[in-house]
Amino acid sequence: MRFILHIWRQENAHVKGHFETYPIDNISPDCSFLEMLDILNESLINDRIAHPVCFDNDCREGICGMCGLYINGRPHGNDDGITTCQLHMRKFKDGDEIWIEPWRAKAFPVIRDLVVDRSAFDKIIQAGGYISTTTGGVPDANAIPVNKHKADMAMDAAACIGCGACVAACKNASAMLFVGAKVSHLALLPQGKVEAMDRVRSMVAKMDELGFGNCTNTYACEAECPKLIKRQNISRLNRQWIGSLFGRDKK
Amino acid sequence: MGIVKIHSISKKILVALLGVFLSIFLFFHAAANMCILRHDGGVWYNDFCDFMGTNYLVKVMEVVLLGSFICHIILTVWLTIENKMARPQGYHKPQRSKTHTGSKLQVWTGILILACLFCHFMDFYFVKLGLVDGNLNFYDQAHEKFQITHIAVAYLVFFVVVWFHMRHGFAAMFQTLGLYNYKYGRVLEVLGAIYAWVVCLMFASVVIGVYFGF
Amino acid sequence: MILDSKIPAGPLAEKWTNYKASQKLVNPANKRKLDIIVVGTGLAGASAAASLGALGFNVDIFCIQDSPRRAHSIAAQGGINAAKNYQNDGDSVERLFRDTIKGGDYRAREANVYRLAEVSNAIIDQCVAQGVPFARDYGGLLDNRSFGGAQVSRTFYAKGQTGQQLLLGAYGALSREIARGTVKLHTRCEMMDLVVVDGRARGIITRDLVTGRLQRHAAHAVVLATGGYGNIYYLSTNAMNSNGSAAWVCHRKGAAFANPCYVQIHPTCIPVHGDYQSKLTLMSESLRNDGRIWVPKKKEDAEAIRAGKLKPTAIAEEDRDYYLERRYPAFGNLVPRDVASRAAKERCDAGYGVGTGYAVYLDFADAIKRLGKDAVEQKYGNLFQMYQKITDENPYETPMMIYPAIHYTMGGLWVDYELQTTIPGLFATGEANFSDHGANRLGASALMQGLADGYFVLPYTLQNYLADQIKVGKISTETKEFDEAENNVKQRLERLFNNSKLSTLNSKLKTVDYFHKKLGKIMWEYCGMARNTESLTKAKQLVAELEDEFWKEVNVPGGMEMNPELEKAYRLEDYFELAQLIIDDAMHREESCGGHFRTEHQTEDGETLRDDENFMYVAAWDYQGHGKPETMEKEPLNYEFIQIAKRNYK
Repeated sequence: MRFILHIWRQENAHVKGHFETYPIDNISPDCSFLEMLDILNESLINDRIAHPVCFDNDCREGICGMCGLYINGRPHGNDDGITTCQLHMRKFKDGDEIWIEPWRAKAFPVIRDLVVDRSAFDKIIQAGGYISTTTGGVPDANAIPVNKHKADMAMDAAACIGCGACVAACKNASAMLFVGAKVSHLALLPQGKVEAMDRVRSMVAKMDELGFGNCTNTYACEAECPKLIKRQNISRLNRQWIGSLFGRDKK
Repeated sequence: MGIVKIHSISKKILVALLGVFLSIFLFFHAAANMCILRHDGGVWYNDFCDFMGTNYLVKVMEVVLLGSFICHIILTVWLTIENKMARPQGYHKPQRSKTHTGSKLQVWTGILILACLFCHFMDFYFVKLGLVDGNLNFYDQAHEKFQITHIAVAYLVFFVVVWFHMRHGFAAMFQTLGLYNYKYGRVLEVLGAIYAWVVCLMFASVVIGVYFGF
Repeated sequence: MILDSKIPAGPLAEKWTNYKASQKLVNPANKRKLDIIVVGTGLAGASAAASLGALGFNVDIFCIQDSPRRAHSIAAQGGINAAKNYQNDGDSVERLFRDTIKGGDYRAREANVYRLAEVSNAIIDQCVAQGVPFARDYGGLLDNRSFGGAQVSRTFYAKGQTGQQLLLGAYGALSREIARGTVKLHTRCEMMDLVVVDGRARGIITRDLVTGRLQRHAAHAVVLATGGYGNIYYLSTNAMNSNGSAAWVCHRKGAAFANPCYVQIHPTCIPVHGDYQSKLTLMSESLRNDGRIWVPKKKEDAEAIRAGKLKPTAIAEEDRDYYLERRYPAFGNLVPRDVASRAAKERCDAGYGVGTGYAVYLDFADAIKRLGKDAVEQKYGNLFQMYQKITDENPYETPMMIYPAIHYTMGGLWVDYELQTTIPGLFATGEANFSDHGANRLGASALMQGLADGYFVLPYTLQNYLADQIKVGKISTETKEFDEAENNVKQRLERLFNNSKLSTLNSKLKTVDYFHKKLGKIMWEYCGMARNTESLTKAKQLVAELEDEFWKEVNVPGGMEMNPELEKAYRLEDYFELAQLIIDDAMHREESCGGHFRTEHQTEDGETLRDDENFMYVAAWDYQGHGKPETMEKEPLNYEFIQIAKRNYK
């Protein structure tokens, strides 16, 4: 297969970027999208045309959350429930023009080419996206039974890989699905309920502070989430937030 | 914006609650309008208008309503500005994700409603306040205006826009207030949509009724 | 080099208790004056940093990715073992210990493995308290599944994403410590060298992967939790950025490297399909619970399938060879990984392979018939979806194709009972050390080991080391040892650019990946699932030739600032040396055990043939300089408590 690639090139965070066009040929339909970029890079190096395109990637099996490209108007490309590394070239038509852009958000500044800085997500988690335990001194694992449905719902929310596709897809660059997923995961479990109010307060405050936009209920995040995390989690986040406004343990 | 600090979710909750309040008002407004359809020469309707113009409680509510309306607008403008700021550099390729279009239109339908509302006030509300000259008998005024084709059509378009705004508004409100869940989230959305339909059809029925002289 | 494993005295079950009772501790007020460097944020690194931070030590943690949550522990699918015996099916610490030793083909250290089994239960408690959403039954209690190499159900799981959930638990604990200020996080930062002062590990040199700047970090102790070196084979189930360099630079500085030839090959991966392929995707071992592995009984059927003339579903039941069930009736499809892998290779080499010839079927037709499609989907849905996305085939309708692939490295830095390497002050945890899995790791044991080391072992043993370090005071980075280490790194990096700088446009240069792929092929072909003197001799020569070619023709474009090609190049440079060591180790071990299969040493029916008399030891290698053969020390394995037997899964 052959394609015409338009790729965002930007040398570092401080200079302006632009699109470059690279035609590419002889791509197998079974090739993954990132493998196609590998082939492009190989040719850029061998023919010494340009510096190879930088893009984040690691596990290449859709779980680490490292990869993330905005491909032809959709984060992770034109398929549902996958990450960029799981996108295969058979999803494109021969001769397609492919526009490849980095995630765009104030909170995710571009570092180089298609690589963005997602440390904002880490900061949100550090604000309270955990259960405060220290190692040791915890009860037996079966001491507190957990309703199976709730445990399953918690698992579905916890499946978030922190790739940032929700932010990239949202017209407002809102991180509500990311925060909602973490808040839901922990609030659904009895272990997480203890500090649920403090958690939601500090995580939302941090999210606002980092410059993410507001949710306007477009649900592009839900449509693009590679782990199919549902918007019900955003609703639960809102519910938790309202609860925290009236909560007694307010600092 | 830095002076007042309201967290993102709280802002949205306020917008949603104000939206609910305004929607409730619309229902009463529409119900009152239905009086126009009575062939009583405007007795009921003008009585009602009198009551609205003189009762002190109503006067207080009027201020509250106006305040809510303005807050609803200020908050949404604030949210929109923040949202634009959250993505200083946009994408080259337009978004192709599967999304709920209502939300993207919401700001625009809002602005349209504001514009239409201004025209509507020129005919009725500002007259009452004495800001604009006009017929103070609103029953006659309504009959006069709604029989002009282009005004009637304009009002119907206005109601469609209101319907759009309300339908998405309701769905979004349930989500924002944390009421949307796996079990009855869809049911609530449908109820919200029905409410929007009912209110807008009530309004429309008056215009259509007067136009065709039912 | 002296290998002192420091195994505490006393009966096996009391060793760890005795150790903890008599070890030295650090006064709470002194803890914050002691600096610890942790390299790596996987299960072992994150759990160690979180636990040490919570104790009050001053911790710096480093990862090469943009977030600690990306570490490759996240990709572990199946589960984590623990001897909880919630199923009442006869499990116990003792049995988990025995299964692990046996699974490792009697090449692991008894005391370490027992400790691992002993703390396994606490790990599950800890993870549940952190909010890890393990699978539960309707009564709200934890559910278990069975895994290869065990006859009990002791594996705890969270859908097919157990590693992810455990890592996120540890990442949460780590994030909490970062917020509290006890741990400082350095992302996109790669360890380039270890700094040794007066014989003790005192710091590291790192490279900022964005700006390219080299930085010095000093500490009283360094913990290496950088995973394994499976990527030396290029195609593996490891992540693209997983590498063995951090461990290797420590090896260069004097840390012994143990059992490098023990490499685990996972039997259920999606087969290779093209030259451009960058990685192999694992299908969880848990699939073997319900899936049945087979190839056609008749060679002509296999040929017809390969030619695309026959569909697997068209082959009658009696024409299928369920070779695992045939050869190992007791364990069937649930034999340990090395056994299953070799059996697949044996069938394919004999000409019965399907697909490209290097694949076998994993069939769920029976499971779907027995349990219904919904139940199968409930259990394995996400794995099936993943398979379909990659191969474009529907595993509900046609059997999956699988083939073994490099997955885990049992070998690693030699450590004693305290997880300390031969360099005092340098500790190695998780996959980076060699300690607990012997010659083969059982499924769901890697997560257990990583977390055991980080949560429950290192916080004790590291204190024992640090107890007297308070006298040393703050360690300075402005010393000649740091200067020297930084200069060495600088020179190493500059040397890699030589070709691209000096060459003219028409000189023929090749990319780093070209060499890496070639190295991987050599290793897989001649030092992979089966090895012999001849293949290893050949591999040694080919690797040496390739290294020469690498230095003459490698093209590393760009400069010092963010440059993935440069990263790949210096990691590959280390792999050349490591490859030689793996080959030497494989060559010297004249026996077959676990993941190390020498074709000269097998039974008549193709099983591994151990030589306990001559090879029951850990081979710890000592670096002698580039291109020089390494010297080897033996740590004898004395099995005091376990009866050594032939590993039999029949």
